[in-house]
Amino acid sequence: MGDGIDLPGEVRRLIPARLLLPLLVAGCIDFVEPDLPERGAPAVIQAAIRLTDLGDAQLEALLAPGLDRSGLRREVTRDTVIVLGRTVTPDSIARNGSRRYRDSWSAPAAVVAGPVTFRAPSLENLIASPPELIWTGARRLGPDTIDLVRGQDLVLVVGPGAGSGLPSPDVQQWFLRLEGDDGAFNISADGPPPDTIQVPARWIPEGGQVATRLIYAQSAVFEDTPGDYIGLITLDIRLHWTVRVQAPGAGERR
Amino acid sequence: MVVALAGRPAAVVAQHPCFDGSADIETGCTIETPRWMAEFATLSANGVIGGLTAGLVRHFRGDSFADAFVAGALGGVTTYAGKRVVAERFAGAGMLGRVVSAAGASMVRNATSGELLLSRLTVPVGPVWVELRRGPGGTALGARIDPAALGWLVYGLAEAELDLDAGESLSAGAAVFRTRGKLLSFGDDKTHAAGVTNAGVIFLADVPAYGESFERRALAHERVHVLQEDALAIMWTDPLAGRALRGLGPDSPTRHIAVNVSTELMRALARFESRHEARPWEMESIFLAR
Repeated sequence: MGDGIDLPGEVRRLIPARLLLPLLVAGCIDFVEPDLPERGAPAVIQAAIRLTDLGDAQLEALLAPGLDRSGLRREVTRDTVIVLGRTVTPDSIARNGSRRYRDSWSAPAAVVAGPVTFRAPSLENLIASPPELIWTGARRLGPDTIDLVRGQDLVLVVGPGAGSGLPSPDVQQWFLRLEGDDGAFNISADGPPPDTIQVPARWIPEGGQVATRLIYAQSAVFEDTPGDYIGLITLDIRLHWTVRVQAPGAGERR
Repeated sequence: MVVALAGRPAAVVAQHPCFDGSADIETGCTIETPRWMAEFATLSANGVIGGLTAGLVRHFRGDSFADAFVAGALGGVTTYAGKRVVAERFAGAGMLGRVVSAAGASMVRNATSGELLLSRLTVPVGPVWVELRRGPGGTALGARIDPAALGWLVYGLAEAELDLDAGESLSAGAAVFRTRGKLLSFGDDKTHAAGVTNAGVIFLADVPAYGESFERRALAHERVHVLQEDALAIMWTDPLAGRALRGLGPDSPTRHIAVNVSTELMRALARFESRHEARPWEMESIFLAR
């Protein structure tokens, strides 16, 4: 009973050479800087806010804190997005520190008028301030249901929203969609929606009831000096009308 | 069936896209094969290695292959149990798993040499192998120095780029050294590693950008390597050296020195498979530590 084993002679001759070779080539360890493409790149937040005059409010945002110049992940010191005074915490945090903020809630119909406020999370070791905005909204003036006689132009009256509009949005566009039973009509333009939108009668879709929706979209890229915190924010405000189109004389017959 | 399943982990993990050769192979990956199946295959592989080690040697010496195989397989299965524990994330998992696995490797060695299964237990503690011998004359506690582990320990302490993590070392049951934000590289090998284990000493790339989850997984991965090296040394390289030097009788250095060339053996075997993730010991570590 020993603690050794018997090996064929050929194997015995091979073992020293096989073991010695790696012993000779085994060196010490080298230390190399990791290749981190994100190192020193700015933190980025992308956020989309949607408000409707039906009382729906929605936020979707993604924050990528990134790495500082030393390759250390930036810590989020205030891990909330604040929209319209509502504090939204992340609903998921990825392994690389990226966060997703998602929330939808009921708001008063008048929320669309603004002011719409947004404040991005705070991160450590950044010079630029967290992106922050106060934007104006838009509101519907007059009733939400409009009765028309076929052949009449549709006139929508939109009132200016409240708020300072700071900083100014880079892009402002409005889109109007009229959707009837047998077709739809779209119109859009740059800038905020005009106070009065007149739609000629020939462009109003056929059908008894026309769902009419105005989307006022604003967006901006925030890049305060020195550009180490970038925000891409979009605000989407939706106003709704129901247009009832009656055939000429229909009212008298009733 | 056990033998057939022994090769299963290789097939299971090698087919998965998370082993696509990218440098980030130690990140978490979802293995679609049922976990129980992969676990059973890993267990079987360890059992078969223990069984064959003991069975074949005893067979060549004219003893019963089957008896030695069963005893060796039992040791191999115990080694697997240690690896299963060591890959867990709780504090002390490393130390506990290392003791269990070393007991398993000791059982394989005892079965190989025809001794009683628990007659001699070896547990590496840092650069020292603590050995408990039980025989007709009673129980004796001994110790031998592992020069390879001692060398890497001294290297870690002397290297300015490395810091000893005392708390993690205690928990891991093995010395753990950390870099300061740098990756590890080896000579002309262009691979940049998050960790490496040499003779039971762990060197870990402490790169905060990779996140805590990555670090925990890399550490668990290296702890499995510690056990693999322990097993190789206890089952194979130390007994081989003992056999080779037995002609020296009582003056044999193996009385005081544990011959642990497991790192070199694995490095030599690695030459036969250039793909890091395709090496069996890497597959096992990646699977257990995922």
